[in-house]
Amino acid sequence: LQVRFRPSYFPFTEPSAEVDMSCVNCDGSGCRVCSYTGWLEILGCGMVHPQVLRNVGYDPQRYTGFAWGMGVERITMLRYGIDDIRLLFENDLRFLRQF
Amino acid sequence: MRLPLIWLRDLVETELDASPLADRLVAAGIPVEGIERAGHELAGLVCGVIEAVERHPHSTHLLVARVDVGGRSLQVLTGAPNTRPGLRVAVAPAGVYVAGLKRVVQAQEMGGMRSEAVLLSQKEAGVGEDESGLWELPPEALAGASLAEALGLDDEVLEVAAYPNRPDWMGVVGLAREVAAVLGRPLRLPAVDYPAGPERADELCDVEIASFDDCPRYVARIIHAVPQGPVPWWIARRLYLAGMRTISPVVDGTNYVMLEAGQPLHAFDLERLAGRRIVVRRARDGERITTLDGQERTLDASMLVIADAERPQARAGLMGGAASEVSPTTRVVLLESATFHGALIRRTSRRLGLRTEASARFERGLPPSLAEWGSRRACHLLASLGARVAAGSVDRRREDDEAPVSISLRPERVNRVLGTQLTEAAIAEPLVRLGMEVQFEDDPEEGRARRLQVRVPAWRRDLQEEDDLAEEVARLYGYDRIPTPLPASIAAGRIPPEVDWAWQVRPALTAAGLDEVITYSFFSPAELEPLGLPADHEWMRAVAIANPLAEESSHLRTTLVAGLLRGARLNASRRQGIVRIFEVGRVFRPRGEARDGRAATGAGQAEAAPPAHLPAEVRALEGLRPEERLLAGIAMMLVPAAAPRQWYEGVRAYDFYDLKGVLEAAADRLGIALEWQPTELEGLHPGRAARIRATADGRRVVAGWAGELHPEAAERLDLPGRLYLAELDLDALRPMRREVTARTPGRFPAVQRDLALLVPLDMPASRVLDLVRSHAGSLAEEVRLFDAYVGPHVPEGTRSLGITVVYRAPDRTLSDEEVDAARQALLQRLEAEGIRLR
Repeated sequence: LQVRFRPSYFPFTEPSAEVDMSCVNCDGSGCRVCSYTGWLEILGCGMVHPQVLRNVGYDPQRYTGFAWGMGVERITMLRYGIDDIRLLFENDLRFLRQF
Repeated sequence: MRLPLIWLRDLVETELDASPLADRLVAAGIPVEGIERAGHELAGLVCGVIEAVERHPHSTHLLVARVDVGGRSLQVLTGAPNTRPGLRVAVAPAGVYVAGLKRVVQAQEMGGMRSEAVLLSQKEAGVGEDESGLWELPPEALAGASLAEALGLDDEVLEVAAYPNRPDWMGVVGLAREVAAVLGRPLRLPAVDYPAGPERADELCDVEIASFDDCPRYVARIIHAVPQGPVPWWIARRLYLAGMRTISPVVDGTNYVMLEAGQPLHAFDLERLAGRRIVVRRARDGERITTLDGQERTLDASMLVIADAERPQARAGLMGGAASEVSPTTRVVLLESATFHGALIRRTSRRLGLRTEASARFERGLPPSLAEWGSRRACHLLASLGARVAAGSVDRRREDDEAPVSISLRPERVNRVLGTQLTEAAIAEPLVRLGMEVQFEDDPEEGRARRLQVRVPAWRRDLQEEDDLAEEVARLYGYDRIPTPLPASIAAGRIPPEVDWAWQVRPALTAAGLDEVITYSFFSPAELEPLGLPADHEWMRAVAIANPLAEESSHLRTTLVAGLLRGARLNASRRQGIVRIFEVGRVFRPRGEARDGRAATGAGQAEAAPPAHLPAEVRALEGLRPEERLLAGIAMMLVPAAAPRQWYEGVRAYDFYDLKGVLEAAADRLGIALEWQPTELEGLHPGRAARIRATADGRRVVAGWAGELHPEAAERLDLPGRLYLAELDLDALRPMRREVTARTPGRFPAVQRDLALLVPLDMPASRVLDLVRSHAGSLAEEVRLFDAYVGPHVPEGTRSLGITVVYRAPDRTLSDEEVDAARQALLQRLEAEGIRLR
């Protein structure tokens, strides 16, 4: 399983980055699941933008911070081969009891 | 946008193929979403050269052509007016599917003569709008060659996305600039010069801008000798690869510049503009316009239009009007190149549901200097096609045009944010490669690295402070070259007590036999209507979401019941006979609402006013923040007809005591003592509902409620059985856990006495047990209820409760006399409370 870390953009981080992992469905060769790129996005992150720090009363010259977020549902779906996110919130007991 | 590699290579030299180039771009932060080979629709089409043409013997309008397709000749019938020997044409042989004809070509007989193929117009081939005759191919189209290959229409194209803050990535020049910076190559900017004709633009038209806020810049140039006829192949090819069709030279020229520079342009027929004036203004309510797509629309004052002296002629930034469209009879063109307020274009675009290549660029906010560049570039192209461009331009813009931005950049800031140790030269180099001017300050302070003065180019309005430049340095330097140590000191983390508490509650409920569910945090109070709650019930007064995605998620949930009901109903509808579920989650109430008579404070949230140094908009939000409470919600239902049958005993539906047992078991596991008080609660069966309290060390708090869903509500919800529900307030329960102090179990034997007590019907068993415990004396170790009887053998208005009292002394074996004495004393005290021995 490959992982890559590449620059990206979010309005609230600077610099920003995203992490991709090689597509579990096609092993990186390209398929519908990964839009034929071979990679699945799993995580976004970055250094908190100085303006965001100012907005909540922190001096960005004194403090820096980082933030990252990962779709918990998405990773779960990749890990267990769940194909419809709604299954996680529908609460059909026949589904829940598999875990 | 679709970036054809050949177009990119016009501006920057690279020997890389699409795939390795895409990798380099992605590593520098440019999102390449796919690589495509264009030309799929042209599969099977070949080039042909017409050798001879004859009239059809039996038809006045058909011609018979012999077409050389390399090594053999086909006989093809056609009615096209430009059919002539020597013409290079697009041939669809039999068996090939032609998208523009929506069919597979077959050999046909027409009037006794065979046609073995079809010769295509541009429109039929799908490359342009022209259907006046056969598509005349350029000299590269050798007979028999694959059409797509010969014309270079099967080239590789990168699909590149543009972040909202990078309008320059919606043009080939902007992307070429990035490629040049990444690869360290020079950028070749296209030519923008043109010979100026004798006319003067400012004598031929006038432009008025109502508001520079809406339209920061408008550049108009005038073009005579409007080119007609097809554009040169190199333009058509690039347009096709970028996903556009050729239409007419002027329109193709403006589209070309839009794709190349990211600056949309529009061409007007000047003679159809009343007063030869352009007025950029807001529409007046009720004005109408018919746009290029043939749709007539009514306008209002929120929309920006390009008008002439009388009426709107185009929707600014979105789409031109039909009345002033350039046509084959146009003699003079006014070429518009303008900058519009991005947010205004975006809002109008969303409201109308109309998104065009032009609006997608304008809404990101273009630099005013690009309008001038785009105008010149378009004139250069059109002049090369034979147009005559009037001298000068009409250029309206703010007096105090945007001053160039300069950022003072400290190397120590860059290294701090990135975690690197780059020298000032290493920081300057990527910025220079991106086209920025960098100067070092002259007199640095002692011991400090020199600051960089960075001139931000006009096309990078996204660069505003030091950290923005740090990102540019990092992405060209290479994120993978930045060292990755762990932070030097991490204060040991801990799990917050509220989270830890929730993690204890969940296993306790699972251990009591329930399945955990997670439901949505948003709901609609309308879901609870079947419960018949009054409009001012606390569940119905929910915090509304200002911009909900759907009706069902219009409010923050005030209770877990809505989600539990959904879960119960879904499982019941799928014939799941046993439903035992719980959810631990937050509910939300409007700030300031009292709950259960207590002052409105959220758990763990101080009620201090927000700090004064925060921005005003942030302070204003504090008053809106809803209160949150952490609850556990439980739902249980058993429908015997749908439940799996057991071989050794029957199944019965759940009743209130099953729910009570589950909650008692979970509470016991958490060290919490519960008290139950029968009561009537809205939405619940009046005889099967209770308020729950918790006690510890003399404190008593309201902990929640439990009961059976009102049968009328259950019927409205189509539930096939009795549904039991409960909510526990976990924030209130957290401080109520009892510490265990162990007691040595008694070694001496116990004596047990059973009592049958007659109690009034309305006295709860819990009260009776409490009374027995408090009056049974210090020798009583345990008090248990083992029976309850109502019927003809007891007086009316009473029931008999069977209670066991277990007596044990810690230091001796009790004698019967001692026990009897204690029992007597107990019965006497009970009698004073209205409880008699049966």
